[in-house]
Amino acid sequence: MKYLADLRANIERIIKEHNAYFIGEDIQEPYGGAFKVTKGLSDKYPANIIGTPMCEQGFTGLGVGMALYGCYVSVEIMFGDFITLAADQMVNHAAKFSELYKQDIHFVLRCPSGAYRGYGATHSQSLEKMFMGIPGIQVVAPSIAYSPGEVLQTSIESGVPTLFVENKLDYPRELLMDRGSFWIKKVMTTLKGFPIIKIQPVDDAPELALITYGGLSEMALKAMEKLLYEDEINIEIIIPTLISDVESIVSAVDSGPVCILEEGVSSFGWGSEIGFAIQERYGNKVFRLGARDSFIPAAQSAELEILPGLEELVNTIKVGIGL
Amino acid sequence: MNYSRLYEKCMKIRLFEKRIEDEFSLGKMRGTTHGCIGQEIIPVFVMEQINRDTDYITGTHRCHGQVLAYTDDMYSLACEMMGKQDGFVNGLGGSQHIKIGNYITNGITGGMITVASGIAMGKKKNCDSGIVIAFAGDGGFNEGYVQESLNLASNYELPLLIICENNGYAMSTPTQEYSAGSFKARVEALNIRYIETTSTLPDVLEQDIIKGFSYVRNEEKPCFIDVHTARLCGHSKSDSMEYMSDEEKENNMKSDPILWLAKKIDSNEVEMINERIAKEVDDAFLNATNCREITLD
Repeated sequence: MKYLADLRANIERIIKEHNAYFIGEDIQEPYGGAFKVTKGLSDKYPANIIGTPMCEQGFTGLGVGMALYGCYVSVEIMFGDFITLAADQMVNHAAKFSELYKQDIHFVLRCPSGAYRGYGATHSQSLEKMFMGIPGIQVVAPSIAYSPGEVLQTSIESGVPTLFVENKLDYPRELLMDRGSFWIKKVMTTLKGFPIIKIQPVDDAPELALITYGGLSEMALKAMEKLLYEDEINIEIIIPTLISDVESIVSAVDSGPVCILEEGVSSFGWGSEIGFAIQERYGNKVFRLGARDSFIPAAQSAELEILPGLEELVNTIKVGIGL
Repeated sequence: MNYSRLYEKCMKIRLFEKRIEDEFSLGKMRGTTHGCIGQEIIPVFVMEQINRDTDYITGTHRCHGQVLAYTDDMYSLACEMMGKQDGFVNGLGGSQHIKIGNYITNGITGGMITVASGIAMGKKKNCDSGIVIAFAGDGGFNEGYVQESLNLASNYELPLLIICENNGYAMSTPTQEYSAGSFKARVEALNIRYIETTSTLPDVLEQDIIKGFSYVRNEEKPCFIDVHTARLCGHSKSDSMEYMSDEEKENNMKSDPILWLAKKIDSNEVEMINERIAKEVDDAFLNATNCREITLD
């Protein structure tokens, strides 16, 4: 099954099981959402798919209020770049209701994010790090490694306001479980029920652990194959979904060098925090690869230059393990 | 209108707020506070109209009057403000972060209007009875998300009653001077029922509030009540009100709704009520002082 189809099927299941509401711009028929995630659903569930005018603060607050009242709610921010508009409702409202007032807030803010498509500076960013380290909310990123729809369901059922980061490049991709690959895949589950997926080509002790999430899981898999076929290097990939939970990610790591890969800007990034925590706990050698300190250019060559690339990742790993 | 009962309710808030001011000036309190001296009668009238089982109320940062009118519980509010475990949020919220029953507030000006629209949407979607009452201030009215939420409330026809406690100042900034057009024109442009009233005429205010409640309950559409009022104290503990002329302050004092109520009651009764409340405030603060602070795990 494709990532998009899996997501859509599970949205339908969440509506049936929880009478959940999905809110956002252009998500009704005939448009079905900018990335077609809710395509067809407003015809089947007209009361549950709520279209909005363009007002991210207003409709995110609307969703938070509905969740405070006890509804299961997911709001779509058309491009993840626009979450800055909704930040106050997440950070100063939803997070405080959850943490300070001890309310279950079944609220998920879905954010299609990510670059590599030439959309330029304000339609390509990975801004999720702005929402990490905020007590009372959590950040979740699905990927092709595990049913994104199931992760969405876990998120909305958790009762913790969630920023749910989908990667736009993932929508048309086939899920890993349906690819017939022979890689060894293990799924661990965090205390909160979010999967951490570990993938290895062969069942030997890996020479390095590559930690990543979301859209770059695909690049990580390619790097894993390349390293195995071209250099006989066996690495393990670790793909967490609850990416704001440092403890569960650190716990998934064994000894040996660790490379952290992220699409967002490296400095002050997710990799910095996870890398530091791993080093603090185990003293492993840690290195990272992320985007350079730059806006995201529209021109293809420039865009690829500032974002992490496959060759760069493979070389980073080789240098990291001393080759 | 039962004048003595109303006087007593307003006076409880007044003397509580005065005591908070004293406690701060004696250095006995930490943090900040936003007093509602002069505006007490608005939440008192509003809470008279609510259905405690089905209605929801969202508040503002200036919430002590709203909380006391909703709960009549000085002790828990004093505890909350002093960081004691018997506070509404175990003392962890403080002056402006309070949730009790169906009342919830927060410290972001105007932010709760967005949340109130969502609670109203939840009610509408679930076909539940009851309405949402959202307190707001004139300062917060210029926040973009307030305008966004009014648009949503009108479009989705939400059972939302907005009570704008319009004291004319956004902290020290005169709201009128910095607001283009009028609140009336803005609200009506969104096809929302607008009622303009004033706290200086309590009998008129009461009728207007009743009118707003019945409009939202019966029509199941939003309504905005713009209550002109006057804050007789600073915006917060550090405000000495230099932005207001002596003449304006004097006029505000003269049109204090509590004076209006006191004149309707026998002066002996006023004195009795005042003494009774003074003791109640003393007890609340004494007991709160003796309450423990919560320990986090």
